[in-house]
Amino acid sequence: MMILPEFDLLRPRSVDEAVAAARRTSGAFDYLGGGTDLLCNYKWGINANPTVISLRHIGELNERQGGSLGGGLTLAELEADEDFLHDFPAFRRTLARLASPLIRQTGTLAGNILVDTRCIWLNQSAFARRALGNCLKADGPECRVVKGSTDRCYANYSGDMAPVFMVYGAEIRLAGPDGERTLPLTEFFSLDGRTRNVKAPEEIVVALDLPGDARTLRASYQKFRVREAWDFPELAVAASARMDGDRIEELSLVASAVASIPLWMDEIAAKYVGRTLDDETIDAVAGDMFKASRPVRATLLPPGYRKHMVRVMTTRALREIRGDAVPVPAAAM
Amino acid sequence: MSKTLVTLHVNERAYEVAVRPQDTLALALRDGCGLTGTKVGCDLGTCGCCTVLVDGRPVLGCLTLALEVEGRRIETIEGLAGAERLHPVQKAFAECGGSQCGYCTPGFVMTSVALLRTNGAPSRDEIKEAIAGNLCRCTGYAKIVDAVEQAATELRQAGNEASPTTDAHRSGGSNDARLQGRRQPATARR
Repeated sequence: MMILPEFDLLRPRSVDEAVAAARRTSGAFDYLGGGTDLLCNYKWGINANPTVISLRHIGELNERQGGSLGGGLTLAELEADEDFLHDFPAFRRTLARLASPLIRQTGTLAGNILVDTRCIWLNQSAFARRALGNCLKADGPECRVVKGSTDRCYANYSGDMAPVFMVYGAEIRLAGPDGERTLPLTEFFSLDGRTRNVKAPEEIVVALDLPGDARTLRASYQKFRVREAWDFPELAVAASARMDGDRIEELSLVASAVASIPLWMDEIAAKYVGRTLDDETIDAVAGDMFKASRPVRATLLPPGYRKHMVRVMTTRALREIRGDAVPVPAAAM
Repeated sequence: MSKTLVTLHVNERAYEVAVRPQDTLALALRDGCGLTGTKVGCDLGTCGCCTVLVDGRPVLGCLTLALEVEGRRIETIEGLAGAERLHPVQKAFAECGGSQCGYCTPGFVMTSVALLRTNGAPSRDEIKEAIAGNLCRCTGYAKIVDAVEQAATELRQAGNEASPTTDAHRSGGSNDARLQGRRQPATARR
């Protein structure tokens, strides 16, 4: 049995109450959503804190109004929301291939956006980590993946929802001690496997807001993982486009799980606006995505293979947007 | 950390249990309520052995804090069978050979019960998808899928809902599936 460390559990009933509780802890706390990520890390002894503040009892985090989705909604609730899936169809396959059905029952939207970065050196027992030599993210002096790195952790981003929200142009709404603020999701992440994003520790993800015109985008999420029953992404590509006939009017691209954050490839996307979405363009975009992705050895598969698969997944995403039939992974088992 | 006395509503019975903040539901059920039918496998949400139903939805007992489900309706494997008769899902698992060492079986059964309450006639692919979070190292899954299919058929024929409160299976009949005759091996029927 994996033993959870001792902690105090606070169960506030409002966002304000939760933020106030967080401020009283002097930073030594974690917010608890579904717990499917945090409690695993606690059981592994990774960066546990003495206070856990549950957000499960805050009704305002569970609301959905049109394209505004509360951070506390479970992934299973989103998966069952046919209106949402009709408006934003790329989420249908994203959700179906996100973790397992059991984890989706309690895992939350905000929890998946904020999911902790993973690394073969980090997600081990405390005993194994000590034996291997602790890493920068957990009590060690330097990153074990990129040796000599003492100021940046290279653990891998493993969420599935953020890349899709990014290509749909979503904003993230945060509530903290200074009130609420909203920023584009593309500006939310920050390239370090420890901090991962610009959210202040006390801030809570209240909602993800999808713009009204996102409904007219064609989008695709292509995830590559080791086990098809359920697994974290070894890499993923999200893409969206607004088409004028076969001409690209607007294009968004994200390469995910190839770095500590989902990478917003705006410069590559901008190059291809106005082009026809033909095989030549698709090959060129996939080639650029391949060149721009530099995975490191933080996950199970070799970086060179994952880099190659960025090209494959980009091709599949753009072909799906074009309306081609693309390979669908085999059933769960 | 000090313990808190909470009331867990499990299988339509109230259990007063003293739990620490970090105690999981699986731990509270096993050690606090004495309901050891819920198994703990990986304890990390990977294997699904500890699956129980909370307000009718399957959740991982190892990643749910006991304090978080105070006042919620919890169902475990012990709540399914009647005094003299197995639940149709349990019966189907026994008859189809969907259980070998048996350690993962309570989790599979609870996940399957939840599935059949929302989808009375699932396809094999839908069954596979529903049980994707439960791991079995013995059966190879085919017989488990067979069992869920058989249970679905039986429940449809009986016009039942797979609910512990309404199931007709709770009264009468033998509780020993071994006496009820086994079906042909799964491979012969597929």
